[in-house]
Amino acid sequence: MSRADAGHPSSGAGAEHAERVLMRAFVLFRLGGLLQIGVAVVTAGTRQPHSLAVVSLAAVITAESLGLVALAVRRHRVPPATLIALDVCLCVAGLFVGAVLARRQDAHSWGYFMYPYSLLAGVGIGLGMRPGLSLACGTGVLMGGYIGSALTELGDPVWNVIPNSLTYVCNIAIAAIVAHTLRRDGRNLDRLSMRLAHEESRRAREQERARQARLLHDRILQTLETLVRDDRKLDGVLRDRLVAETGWLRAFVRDGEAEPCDDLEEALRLLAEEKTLAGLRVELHSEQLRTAARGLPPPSVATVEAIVGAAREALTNVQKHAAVDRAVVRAELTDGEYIVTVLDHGRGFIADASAAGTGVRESIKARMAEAGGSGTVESGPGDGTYVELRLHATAPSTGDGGTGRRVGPGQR
Amino acid sequence: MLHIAVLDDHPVARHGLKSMLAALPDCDVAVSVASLDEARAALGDDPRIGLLVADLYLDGGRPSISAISEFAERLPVLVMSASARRADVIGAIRAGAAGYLTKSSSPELFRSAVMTVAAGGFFLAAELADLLQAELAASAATIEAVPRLSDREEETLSYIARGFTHAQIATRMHVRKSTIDTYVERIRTKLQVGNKADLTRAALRRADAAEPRPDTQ
Repeated sequence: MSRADAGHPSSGAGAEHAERVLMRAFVLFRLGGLLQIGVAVVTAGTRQPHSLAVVSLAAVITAESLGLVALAVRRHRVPPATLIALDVCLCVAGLFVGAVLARRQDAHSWGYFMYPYSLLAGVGIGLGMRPGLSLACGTGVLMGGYIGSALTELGDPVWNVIPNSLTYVCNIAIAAIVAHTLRRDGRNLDRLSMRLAHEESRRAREQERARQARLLHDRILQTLETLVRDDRKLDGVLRDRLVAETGWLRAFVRDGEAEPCDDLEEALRLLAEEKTLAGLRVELHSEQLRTAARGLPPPSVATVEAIVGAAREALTNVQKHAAVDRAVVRAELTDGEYIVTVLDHGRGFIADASAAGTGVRESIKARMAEAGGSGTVESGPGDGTYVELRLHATAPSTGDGGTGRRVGPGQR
Repeated sequence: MLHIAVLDDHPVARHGLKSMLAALPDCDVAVSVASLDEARAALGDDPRIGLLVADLYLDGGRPSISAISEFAERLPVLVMSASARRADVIGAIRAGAAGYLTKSSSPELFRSAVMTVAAGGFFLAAELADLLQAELAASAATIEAVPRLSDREEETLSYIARGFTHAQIATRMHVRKSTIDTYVERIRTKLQVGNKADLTRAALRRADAAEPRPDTQ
């Protein structure tokens, strides 16, 4: 079954709604086709008794159609493309049988009900098959069936048959365009809804974080800073420790109160400051980024958060495992892609043998992949560790908080 | 034995430089002066001097770019300045400096720079590579005469800006380390050819418009 012919089980409400609308269209056209058969059979029956063959053909086609309608109603979507294909085959067979029967009874003008039926039933091809080869084949087979039956069995002239057959193309093409547009709009609606939900969730988290930061600031940070200023009360080692912890808490509180940031260089600078305060000297090289980004729209908040979050993990890994006190972070914008690298010349790790290395590798990869980018971690014993984060400036994001230029750190 | 001259108008800075240089093997700080005139006189008197470590801002608000140019014609010059302004860095390199370090550079980086420059090489620190890449891109957009780097040179510059050593870059690019050294020399040459005055003026204009003046030392 093609992706386009039915909604995915995990589709959102927009896609589901589109499928329901298309299902109703399928059902109505199919019932319209059956009405054509009913009218033809009843009208012809008033002139002369039907042969068993005519009644049988009408019954088979009606039963098959009602089966498809029941399936569509039950699934809330157009039947799968494979059933539509079988339906086309049955329709073609019906066109030939109907033509033979109409010729025998000399009932061409009123008894050949398969033609008007197939015109309406053919709409199902446009609704149920994905635009492309399968759709073209379905249309071609149905057209071919009509042309073949009309020319060979009914003996209709070519100048009449060809224009008639073009009606199939028009019906199916219109149905396919409408179905494609509806499904696309449904998916877009779902994407927007999901983005909105992400955004609301992110805002809620930020509000909670800001509340906690305010509490920490009012209850603890101010006391700690008072202690640090009055150094007569503390010995050297304890005071140094307190200064470091106060600095960390100050940075944490500042992050919690900050607005979402779309300035990648500024967010990386704050990250470098934070890590330097924690004892890792971080060299940040971002001149190329600043120059290349001049005059361009700022990246999305989600882009900045993904890159800075992954860079933070890489630097934390350096702090914990590399046994060095220095790392280089380089940020650049090349060919529309943000590239941020984190390099240390520490002891590195063996990729498959180190749980810590594997953990950070997977975590960085997952974070970047979620934002539509990529993250790679290269390391070897004694070779240091090199992390490369790439994200296209136009990558779709799921948690974009807007594009206004605001300054503040990323997330912790 | 490498005889080194130190030029800095701050006595404490000169003392610090002397201490760091004294720790290097086969190095001797033969001259330690505070002004350009003293430096000219000392270099004239002592032909053994093989390297000048010079501050960029000497007792004034303007960088001594022309003095760097004058000294660089006679011996390798390693500039060490508090300024990390792009105009200063690019100006000094275009004037002929064989290396540029900021005063926040680590002692290891300083020692590495001294050894590279004394051996006649061009010391391209990661910070400098980042600045050069930005400058070359900006110049190429505004000045047609700017020589373009080849793809391999551009790649080398990018790796240096990311913090890789020449040996590590050679491994990544599947070439010998000497090839990377050659690329770096070519980058330096391309930076210094063409109409230097125009390029420097353009760089100064851009940088002045974009950055505040630094504290000078």
